[in-house]
This record gives sequence, structure tokens and C-alpha cells, in this order.
Amino acid sequence: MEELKVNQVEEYSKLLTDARKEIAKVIVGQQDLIENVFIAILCNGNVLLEGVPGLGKTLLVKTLGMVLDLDYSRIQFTPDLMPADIIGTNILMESDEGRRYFEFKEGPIFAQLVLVDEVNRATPKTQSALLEAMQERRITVAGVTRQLKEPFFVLATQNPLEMEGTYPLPEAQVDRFLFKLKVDYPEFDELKEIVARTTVNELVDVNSIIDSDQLQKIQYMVRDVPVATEVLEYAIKLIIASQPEGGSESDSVKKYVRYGSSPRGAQALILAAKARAFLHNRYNVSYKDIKAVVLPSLRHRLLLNFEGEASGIDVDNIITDLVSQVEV
Amino acid sequence: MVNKSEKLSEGLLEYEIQQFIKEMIAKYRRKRILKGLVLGILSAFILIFMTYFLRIYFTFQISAVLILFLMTLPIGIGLILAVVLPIPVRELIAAVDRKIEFEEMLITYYEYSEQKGDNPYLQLLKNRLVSFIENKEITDVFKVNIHREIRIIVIILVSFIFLTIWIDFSGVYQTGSGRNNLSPVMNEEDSFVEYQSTESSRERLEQPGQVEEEFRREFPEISASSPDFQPDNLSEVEVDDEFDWDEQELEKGESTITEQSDDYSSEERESSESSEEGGEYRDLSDENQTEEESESSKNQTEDGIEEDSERSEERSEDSSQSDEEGERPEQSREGEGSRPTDRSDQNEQEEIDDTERDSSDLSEEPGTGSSESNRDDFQSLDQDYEGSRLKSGNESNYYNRYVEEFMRPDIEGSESGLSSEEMNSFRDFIINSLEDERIPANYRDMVRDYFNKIIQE
Repeated sequence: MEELKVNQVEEYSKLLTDARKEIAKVIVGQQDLIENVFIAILCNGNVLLEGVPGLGKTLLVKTLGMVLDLDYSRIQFTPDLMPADIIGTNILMESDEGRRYFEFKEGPIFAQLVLVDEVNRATPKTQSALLEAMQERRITVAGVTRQLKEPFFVLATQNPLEMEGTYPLPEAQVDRFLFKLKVDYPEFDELKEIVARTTVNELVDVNSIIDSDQLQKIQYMVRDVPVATEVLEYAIKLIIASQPEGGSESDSVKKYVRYGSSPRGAQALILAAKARAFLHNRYNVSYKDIKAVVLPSLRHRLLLNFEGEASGIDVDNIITDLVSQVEV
Repeated sequence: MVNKSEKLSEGLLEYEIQQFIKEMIAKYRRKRILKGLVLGILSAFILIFMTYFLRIYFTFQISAVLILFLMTLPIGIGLILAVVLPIPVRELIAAVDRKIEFEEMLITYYEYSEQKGDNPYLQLLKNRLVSFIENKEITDVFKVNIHREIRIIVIILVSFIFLTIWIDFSGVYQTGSGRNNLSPVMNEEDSFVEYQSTESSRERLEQPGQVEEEFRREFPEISASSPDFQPDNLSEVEVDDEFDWDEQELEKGESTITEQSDDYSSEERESSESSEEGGEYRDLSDENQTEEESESSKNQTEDGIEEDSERSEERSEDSSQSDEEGERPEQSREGEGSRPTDRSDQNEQEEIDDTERDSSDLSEEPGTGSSESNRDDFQSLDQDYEGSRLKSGNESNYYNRYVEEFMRPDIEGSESGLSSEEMNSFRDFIINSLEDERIPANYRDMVRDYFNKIIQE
């Protein structure tokens, strides 16, 4: 890649800022959520959104697809959903000459931005169909491997309240999400604005700000953001400290955590920190970046033990405790 | 041309960053030197304090040179380490980043410029870093907190001054034997084994049989191998005599005057028994010494050992209101420097006052005849009292002569000249006395070894 110039980096940073502003035209509030989604996209990572229905998750993903000029698709996961419904299948076709042949019919996964709604309602078999697509950016049907379009993102949502009739995601699959983001209720002013905007006939026009090529360039640039050894070591310390058998100093980790973060968590932490630094128009990763992304990066990688589950311990509290105990 | 100016600009930027790092290193070095100095002073203080306590259990000399060494060694080590030890530049730069809130730009630039010079962000990072350095107020990085350091040093010095109340660094107790700078307690404890060090005593010790002959002449009863000689009975007397003889001498004086006994030998047993309750001069009280004898014993003080005799005589002279001052022979004062002289003038004055009061009481007590007879009685009592004082000196003399006899190193292996009973009893006495906690540990072993090596022929 050609050498970066100051104006080039600033240009891309400005594009990202404009994109966020464009999204803000539709999504009221939720600035942290939007920033973290952007970070995940810059890292070419997948996001698990957790929140009750009606908070604008689907709208966010749809708007994001429009702003980033990405192919957008939505899959509603249900218990009877089959893998072929996601990835596509070979169907028997007949030509004009009467000759029959199999033709692969692409499923909704063949998009750049895929919204998987209520991902925990499908059976594990169907959920696992997402596995290869999320990690490898490709699928295999009838022995034929097909590459997905780049960039490719999966934004999955799940409802934390309704647990009946759901199939909790397996740990291996959860680990493949870069971030797990919590979608909170809007504030008073935000809710007032949401109601005011969505109850009129006036539609908001959303423009495409960044195209796919630019996005891929930015993704490439993000990986080059320098990170000092001290900062890297701090991230590693956090990961080690999250493991109860890794000599963690945190009492809450020792008491309530069954499994700590995997090395993939460390990768996510550093990469997300780089993306955040880039997003904030900085040219190196600082401790602040690490601390800012530690919650979305690690909260789905820490598995509570029985005591933690029974006590209703929030993983976020454990991670916050961890960050306060691990010295810079 | 453009490329050249760009390169020049880059070089200037890099130079500015390097200068900034050098400035930070210099500030850090200054702070470290000051810290090394403070820690050195603290360590020196602790060392001296520890030395003081160690001296309770281990006997060794504390001289001004040692104190100076203990002071300068840790300070010197602290300063040298602060100057010589390499400065961890990486850690220092990381600390600067945190302190100035550079958001880890400096450490990142430092690392990438050394290892990954081809990173595309390096140039951008450099530009931003220089603008940060130019615009940021950089004053409180590695700031030397002089007030805090001075406060610490003042506390240390004040503590040290208080410590000198316990440790005497003045060398007042320095003796000719090279045993110097002992505390008053240590000096008094050890003085009884230090007599042999004087020149005159050494000369006498070199003459075979001289000490023995002197002892026999001076203590005929004991030298005749009297079975009455019980060194064990002397233990308390001698030990107490070393410490408490001021008060006890006065008590002894009182008892002697009250009893008005001319024949000390008749009271020997009683006196011996009463001595076990804290009395004095039990074993030698049977020596009904004449004034001539006391004079001869005074003459033995030429070697500087007999200051007790001098003291008792001086005190006796004071108590008799200096009437006989002109008649008494001049006492030898050669040994004054080698004796512990820690008795304060105030105590001495009190003792003299007590003695005067006792004397005045006694002058009225007899009261059976005229005032002349009372004066005679008083004079005789005074002489008796004076005699008892001299016995005190003789007793000490006797003891110290024994120590000299047995402890002198230059006659090891030669014939002692004492009978086996005397030697055995004295050995038992000495070894029993070694249990006294006031005797320094290394002397105990030395004395015990010495006596255990004596072969009876």
C-alpha cells in the first residue's frame, strides 16, 4: 500500500465523521452504540447486539447499510429455520431446451451487511451455518465453496428477556463476534426526539457517504496504527487477569468466572483500540483506547460459573473491577 | 529542492523530539541523585542505630572513624548508584507520556522510530508530537520536591541528635588501652579486666613472683592458705562494689562508727552474714589494720589501680572537715585516667554532706563525758572509718591483683605460685561471677577458657 499522507488520513477520518452524522439523522442518541458499531466495521468484525425489542437495532443496521453503501439483508431467526434458508441451496432448474440442471440459489447471507434478528431463536444447527460465514467470509454448499462479498459484516441481535424457546449461542460462536453491544433505552430527550421524528409523514433522506472500496482501505489503514509495547502489554495483562486460573488478582474473577477471555479476545481488544484511535483522528493507540473498548470486547468472552449465574452477577461489573485493578 | 527541505524539516522535528527526551533524562537523573542522597542518609542513620543495639550483645569498638564510615558508606553508595546506574529510557519515556498526557505518543514514536521506521503513521506521529511538545506546558515532569526532601533530612538529623544522647561519640571514655568510646555502663563493667593494660602493671608482671609476693605481704591471712578464704562469698561484694559502692560505703561507714568496734576480727562472722544482705567488707573486715598498714596500702596505688582508696581517703578527709589535710601524705594520682570517673560532683557533695551529718550526730551520741572525750571518741571513730575505707581499697586491690595474676597473657604456662585450694576456689569464684549479665560475652568465654586451661600439678 502506498505511503500514507497526513491529508489522506484526515480525509478518511472526516468521511467517518460524516457517516456518523448521517446515521445520527435517523438514529437518535445511542452515540456510544454507533461508535462501537463503526469500530467493529473498521475492524471487519461482527457485532452481537443485545437489547429488548423496539430500540432501533434493525433501523440502525439498515441505516448503516445505506450510509456505507453496502448490500443489506435481514434474516429473522426462528426455530424452524434451516441452514439452507441462510446460505442458499441448489435447486433443480430446467433450460429452454428442456435440459435440467442444478443452480445455486444464494441465501440472504450473500450480502455485505447482514442483520440476524433474534439469533438465539434458531436451532444450533442453523446457528452453526453462520459460523463459517462469520469467520472465513465464505460458505460451502454441496462441496462447493463460495466466497462472500467484501466487506462482510454480521450484526446479530438477541433479546435478553425471553429465554424460553431459545437456543443460547454456543461459546465457540459467541467468541466469533468482535463486540457484544448492549442497546440501552433512550434518554428522555432522545425518546422525545424519536417520537417527534417517526410520527410524521416527513421521511429522512440518508445519503451514502463511504463506498465499499474506501471502507476496505480504511480497514487496511486501521491495522497499521502503531501501538507501543507498553500498551500492548497492558491489554495482555487485562486478558490474563480475566482468567481465573491465570493468576488473576481480581477477587470477583476468582469467585464468579468459570472461563476467561481467549487469545481472540486480546486480538479484538488491540484491533478495536486501533480502530478507535483512527476514528478519533489519532495515530497511535493509547491506554484510553484500550479501556474504552474493553467492555464490548470482553463481556461475551467471560463465562460465569454457577455461583455467578445464581447470584445474578453482571459481567460488566467484573470487567470494570478488572480494569481498576490492573495497573497501567 | 522540495525533497531537501522536507528532509531538513523532518530532521529538525526529530532533533526536537530527541532534545526533549534528553531533557527528560536529565531531569530524571537529578531527581534520582537527590533520592539516592536521601536514601543514603536514611540508611546511614539506620546503620548507626543498629550498631548501637548490636553493641549490647557484641563487644566492639565504636570510634569516630567507624561512625564516619557508617555515615559516608551508604550515602556514597546511594550517590554512586544514582549516578552510575543506567537510566531505563523506555520506562522513563512511558512515565513522561503518562505525566504529560501525551496519550502514549512519545513512547510509540520512540519505539517505532527505532524498530519499525517504515510505519506509515510515523511521520504523522512525529508532526503531532512536536506540536504537542511546543504547545504543552511541561514543567512538572520529574519535579524535584525540595521541600519534601529537606523535611525528610531534617527529621533524620533531629532523630540522630536525639540518638547521640545514648551514644557518646566524644571519646571521653577513651582509654590508653585502645578501648575507646564506651558508654559509661560498658566502661564500668569492663574496667576490672582492663587494669592490666597500664605500663606500670605490665612492668611488675614481667618480674616473676613479684605480684605474688606483694599479695602475700599485703594479705597475710589469705596468702597463708587460710580455709576461711571463701571467694564465693566475695562475688556479691565485688560485683556490688563495682556499681554501688558510693551508697554502700556510706552505710558501711555508719555501721562501723555505730558499732565502735576496735576488734574487727571478733565481728567477722556477723559481718560476713550481714554482708549477704547487702553489706560490705565482710571477708576482709577481720583485718584490724593499723594506720601504718593503711599507709602501706596507699603506697601500692602507684600503678594507678587504687583510685578507690584515694577516693575513700579524700572522702574521709572531707568528712573530718580537712583538719588533718596537711598531715596526710600526698596520694599518687597516676592512675586516675585509667579509672572510671563517672561519679558526679553532685552525688559526691551529697555523700560528703551525709557523712558530715553522721559525724555530727555521732559526736553527740557518746555524750557520756566531757566535750574533749567526745572529740577523742569522734577522732578514733573517724580513724576507724578511715581504716574501713582503706580496706575497701585493699579489697579492690586484692581482687584486681588476682585478676592481674591470672589474666596476664605473658606468663601463660608458667608456674602460678598459688596453692591449688586458692586457685580452685578463685577459679570457682570467677566462673560463678561470669554468669553476671553485665560482663561482656566475649570476656566470659575468654576468662572461662583461660581457667579451663590451667593445669594442676
